[in-house]
Amino acid sequence: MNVIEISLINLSLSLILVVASLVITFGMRLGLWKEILLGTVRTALQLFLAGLVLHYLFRWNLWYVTILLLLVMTAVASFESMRRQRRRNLKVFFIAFAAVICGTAFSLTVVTAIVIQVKPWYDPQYMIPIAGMIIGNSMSAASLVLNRLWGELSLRKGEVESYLALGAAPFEASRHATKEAIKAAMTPTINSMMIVGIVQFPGMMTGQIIAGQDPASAVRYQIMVMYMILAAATITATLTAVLGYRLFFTKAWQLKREMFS
Amino acid sequence: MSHHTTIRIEKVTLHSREKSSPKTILDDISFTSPAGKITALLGPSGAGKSSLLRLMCRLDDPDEGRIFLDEKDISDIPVLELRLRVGMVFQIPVMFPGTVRHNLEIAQKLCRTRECMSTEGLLDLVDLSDDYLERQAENLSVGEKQRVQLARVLVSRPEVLLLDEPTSGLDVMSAERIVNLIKRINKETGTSVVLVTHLLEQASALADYVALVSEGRLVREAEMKGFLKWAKMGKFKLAALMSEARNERN
Ligand SMILES: Nc1ncnc2c1ncn2[C@@H]1O[C@H](COP(=O)(O)OP(=O)(O)OP(=O)(O)O)[C@@H](O)[C@H]1O
Ligand SMILES: [Mg+2]
Repeated sequence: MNVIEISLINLSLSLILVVASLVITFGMRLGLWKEILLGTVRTALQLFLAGLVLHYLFRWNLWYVTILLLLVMTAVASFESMRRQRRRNLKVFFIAFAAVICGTAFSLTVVTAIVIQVKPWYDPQYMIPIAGMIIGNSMSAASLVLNRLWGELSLRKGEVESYLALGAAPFEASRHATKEAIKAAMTPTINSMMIVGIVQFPGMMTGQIIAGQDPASAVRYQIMVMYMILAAATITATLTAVLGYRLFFTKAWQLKREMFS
Repeated sequence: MSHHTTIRIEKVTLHSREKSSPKTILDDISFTSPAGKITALLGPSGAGKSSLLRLMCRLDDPDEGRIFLDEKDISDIPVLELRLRVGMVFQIPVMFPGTVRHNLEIAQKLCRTRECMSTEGLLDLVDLSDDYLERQAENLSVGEKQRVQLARVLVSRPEVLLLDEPTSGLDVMSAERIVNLIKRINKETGTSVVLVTHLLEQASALADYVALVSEGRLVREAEMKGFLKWAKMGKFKLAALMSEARNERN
């Protein structure tokens, strides 16, 4: 394949883009320069590291190393979901972890075992990048659900407590909130399905096309990717909501006061 | 219902959870609301009346102290049973999306297997015509919502009614009808009532018993007659207290 290699020197020229962003944010006094610098450094470091890890992973080609890496990725994603919440605790982490794992396991299995039929089943060249896409989207879904649940419950505190006072259990009192939270978490995915290929060319497809693959084949991958992200987001969002609403209630069917003041 | 229920508040203290400004909302309050009677909970705005009602139906738990329903600590009563036995009418009525009928049906469903009131004649009880059944509940006026809320609570035939200023959104006529309704429910079914109000006149017309609170503390607990006598003696202070309450509301 005739891909143009980017030399390190040429890559460093891409910093022009970062400088442009810095100049603008300085000019507008947005106070974002620290974040931009950190983000720039992290991007480079994390990706170089990922390249290195993948390099060895593909070489070793061992099923347990692949599974281990998938678990680490899920754990990091769950941690990130938790970090994005106002109230952080270990319960949030485990809820996100369980939800992301289920969503990912289902989508990943369908895609690699049934659709692509990867051989051997754990081939890291397929497993890791595909799982990466799924986990990333599941993570967003999980944090969106938790954020929105809190938002809905505090906005509709009066309604929720009216329900509770009439004898409703927390799952009944928060049914509206959980539904809204799941919908909110799925909206970005559904929206992107509406515009994909028209306004937006996803990273994976772009990558394959640049790498010289026939666009017709790249497109098939992308269609599968969209469906797989949809399933993962739906499963993760629903599980997060079903497990997560409990975080906001006490055993005595009360809204937790400390969460809402 | 022949069963009459006593509510006893024992040394209840409640702190706010705001980290920036911790505050004692209720400070070592004790009083008893006698079985089958109407107890008025009087006090100026911010005294802690609503907070106290919330504790009685366990929407919050006190930091210290206990609350008894017939000598049984409410934290030992299964929550569902407690919530159906104790009906709470909130100061600000919140309707569920949908029709008034839907609102009443939700309350019926939440009674689970227990016997509950049918929607027929329920609205009549709170002085609304049956035409209201098909109205969108969220579009009603505050006073109408207040009455639907009361009807919704009556569905489970509670043995204790907690009413947080149930007439504050109503004109004098409707308020009077609600007052009469409360009286009737209390007389006919022996339902114990705790009524939060700013109006001394309303309290004296309705209540058998009074608990006066201010700044989270109990000022006085007495039979209505004795309370009025006491109030007359210390008239100046009480009038100031209550008018202060009214001014803050307006
Ligand atoms: N969730 C809360 N967090 C912090 N402070 C609170 C909370 N709820 C009530 N308070 C405070 O506790 C005090 C008592 O409030 P409460 O609503 O019980 O008063 P009230 O007697 O019902 O007043 P009103 O007659 O105006 O309804 C107030 O100062 C209020 O600001
Ligand atoms: Mg109040």
